[in-house]
Amino acid sequence: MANSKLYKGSLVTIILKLLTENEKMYGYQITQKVKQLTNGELHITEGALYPALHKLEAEGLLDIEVKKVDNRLRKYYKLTDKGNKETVNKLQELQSYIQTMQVLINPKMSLE
Amino acid sequence: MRHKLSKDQIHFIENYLEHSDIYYADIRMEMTDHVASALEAQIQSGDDRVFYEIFKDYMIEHKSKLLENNKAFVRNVDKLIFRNLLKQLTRPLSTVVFILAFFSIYRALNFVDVQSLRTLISMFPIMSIVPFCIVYVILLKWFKLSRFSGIERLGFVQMIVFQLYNFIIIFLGIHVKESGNNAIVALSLALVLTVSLVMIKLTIMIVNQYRKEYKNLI
Repeated sequence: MANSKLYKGSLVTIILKLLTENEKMYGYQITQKVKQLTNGELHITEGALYPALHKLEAEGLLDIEVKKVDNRLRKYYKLTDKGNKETVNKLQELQSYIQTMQVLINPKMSLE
Repeated sequence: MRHKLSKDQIHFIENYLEHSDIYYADIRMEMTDHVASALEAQIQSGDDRVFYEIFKDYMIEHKSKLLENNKAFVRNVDKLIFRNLLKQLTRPLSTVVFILAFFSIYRALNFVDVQSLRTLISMFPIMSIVPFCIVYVILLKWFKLSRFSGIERLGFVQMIVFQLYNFIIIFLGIHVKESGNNAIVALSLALVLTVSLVMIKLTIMIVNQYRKEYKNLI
């Protein structure tokens, strides 16, 4: 498993990005999707995922929908309009961060 | 075919979480689904042990993370209620109520002597909290919503607001004794009245939101 501290700051961006590609998702589905996309490299724990989801919900970036599925209730998250706008900002911030890190790690890139 | 847990197994998970201090129905519902989904995936991948063995091992590994989530959830609920309270207080309607209350109280104060005013002020926090308590208790009993995080934490927020009222009243008590300045008294009482009305509105809004979102659980 990768160093989770390096990914911690990007968790919100990862969630928002996944929700732009899927109309609505539930907690466990998000953890599995991340695991699948990263070939098991990144594993999001319940202790990190749900506080982040609830924080985004409290900030009005996510809306919820509760449905009965397989003998239990399931809480789905979907992006609000504010959430869609915030996703664009977060992705730009992340891309800028990655570029900066690449330049720092590989200084030759800054000359190109 | 995908493996599904039975109703009894789901009920078992929910009971376990409830006895592990995840007492809010909304968070427990989400955690139950998470644990059930994880167990189903494990059984699907070929784990042929009995359900209780798989469950026990899963909880040994994940229980601390689930409880950690519970604490963070409550903090976010409080934050959400305070944000909504602030949002409601800054609405034009609240400003209109505040201004009307201010002028009405200011005019009424001309007909009240200082001693009666001091008595009235000392009773104001209780008088302001009673309507909230009536609305709150009726809604909780009527819709059986007592163990939902947002609704239960409203009581906590109301307690903080009540302390704020008491602080204002202590300040006013000193002020009325010293100068009897009607404008400051009217301003403070109008503020208490506006916050009280906004708290009632917020309670009804949150209760309706839970009734809509969790209609399958109520």
